[in-house]
Amino acid sequence: MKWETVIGLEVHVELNTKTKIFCSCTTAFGGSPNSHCCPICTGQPGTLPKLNEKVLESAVKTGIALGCRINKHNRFDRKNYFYPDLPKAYQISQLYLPFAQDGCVEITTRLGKKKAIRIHEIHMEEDAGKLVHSPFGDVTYPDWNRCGVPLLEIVSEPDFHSGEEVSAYLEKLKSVLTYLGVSDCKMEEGSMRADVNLSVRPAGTEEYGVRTEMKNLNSLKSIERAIDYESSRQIESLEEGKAIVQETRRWDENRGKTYAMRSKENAQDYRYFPEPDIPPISISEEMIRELTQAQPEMADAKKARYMEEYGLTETTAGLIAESKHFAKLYEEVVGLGADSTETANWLGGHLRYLMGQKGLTPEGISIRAHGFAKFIGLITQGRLGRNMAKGILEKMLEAEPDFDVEAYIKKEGLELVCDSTQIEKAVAEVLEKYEQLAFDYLAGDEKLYGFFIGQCMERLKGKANPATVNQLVKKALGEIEKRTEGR
Amino acid sequence: MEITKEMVSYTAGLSRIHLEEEETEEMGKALSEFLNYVEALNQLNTEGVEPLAHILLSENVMRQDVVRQSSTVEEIMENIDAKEDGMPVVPRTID
Repeated sequence: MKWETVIGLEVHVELNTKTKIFCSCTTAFGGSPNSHCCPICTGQPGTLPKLNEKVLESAVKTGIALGCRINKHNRFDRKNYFYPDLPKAYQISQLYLPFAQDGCVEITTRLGKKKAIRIHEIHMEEDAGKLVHSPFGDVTYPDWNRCGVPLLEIVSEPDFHSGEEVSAYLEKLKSVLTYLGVSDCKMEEGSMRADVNLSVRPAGTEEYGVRTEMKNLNSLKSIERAIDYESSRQIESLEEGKAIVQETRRWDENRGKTYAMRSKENAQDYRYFPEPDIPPISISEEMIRELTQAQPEMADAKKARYMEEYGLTETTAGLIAESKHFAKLYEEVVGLGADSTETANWLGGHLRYLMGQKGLTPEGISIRAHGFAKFIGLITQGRLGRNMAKGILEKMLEAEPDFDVEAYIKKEGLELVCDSTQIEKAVAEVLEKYEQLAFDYLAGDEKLYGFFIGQCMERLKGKANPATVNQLVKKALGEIEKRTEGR
Repeated sequence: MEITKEMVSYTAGLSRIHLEEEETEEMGKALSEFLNYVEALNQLNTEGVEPLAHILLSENVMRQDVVRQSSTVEEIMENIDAKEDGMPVVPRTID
């Protein structure tokens, strides 16, 4: 039987506000354990949480960007559970009235397939702490610094059928949220996390199968692996006649398997009720209008503009526009007068390749617009050969932001000679020395052409712009031909 | 509505409250009485009335995004018995 995998995602994104959602403690990452806590975020009796206005603003911006309807009347709900990562023993969330609903984003998979993914809802909530497990004994140490860090939970409809689509969607969310400047979406630091709800059904049928939920997925690679594993596991079970149990499963990155969490962790009865400490929040038409008008140009719009304005290919334009930092770098470099196509090809090509090799992100590279514009200028002026430039680019990636590429190639003697009088002189010398061979060439021995080029290059110590040498050798041979015809 | 002993035990379990056998029975009676008392509200016609999310009339009570000094680790740990290096010590939570 042919099976179809159906996936829905719950994505948690940490907002990058300076303070927590309900108190004025810092949200800075790291910090010694339990040093970013106060009576409010640890739920001491008699404290009163108060909503951070910046959280609401970031949330509404996100809702608008993801095409959602913004609910004007909002409230928070209390989700009760006992776990050591949550000293309050409840999490303030939005169950009954999420601030945004019914959105939609368009994704493009690696194979270039476009698809619309519907967003069911987005709600605001607070994060829980981190649990540090002792490598020795049977104990765990809670670090509550993360308690109360603002989160958006973005819940999709079950519109995905593969890990590849899920990856494309997460990349898209990252692009939108970083363009908005509301989150840095670093999966490796936990500021973007995904829970995957997955079921399988016979291909062509409508009814959903029993689903499992996978947690603890902290990279795109592990998400895709977990999805592949869990789909196969469910299909195998069903083909063996076993039923799928609705449960939460934990992904084990090292073993490459999912396994059911203890039943105790599975038993969920959160006894939600309206949060009595937070008065209702109303979002005005005016706020929605203002934040809609203030939406920045996002990846899709930038991509279209790059194609139209600079004549870039869809792939190259997409590679640059996807990351806010990359797009900014590109626009600044072109703004400094660098050639738009040459810049795009280097950014979307070798630079991305090198970054992939070194595990660097667009926001983590040291290359600045000024230096990169100079680099591109040297290439377009023919002063830096393309092969040589690849090595120089790698050097730039490893160097400090103020690295002077022009001074560097001068010092290392890597600059190509572009001065045509110098090249003309070398060409003339070569053709004079090998006059007979020049006649042989003109008489039809075409393979001698490469020899002339080689001789010229040798005289110029390999530092001449090959295109110029080529052009001048041709010109000089043409002149000899004219002279001999005249005789 | 009648609150059975099972319902009391279940709720107490969720709240991590330990109840003796006779307390469970007493609590069941008390909760039933309470719910029967407020049952009277169900006689009211609430058609077209918005659910009340909050008892106060205030809304949009918010603060600015400005960092203020957190408590010290010692203050946060003050009421915790089992602690080590500024962290509470709890039974291991994963296998």
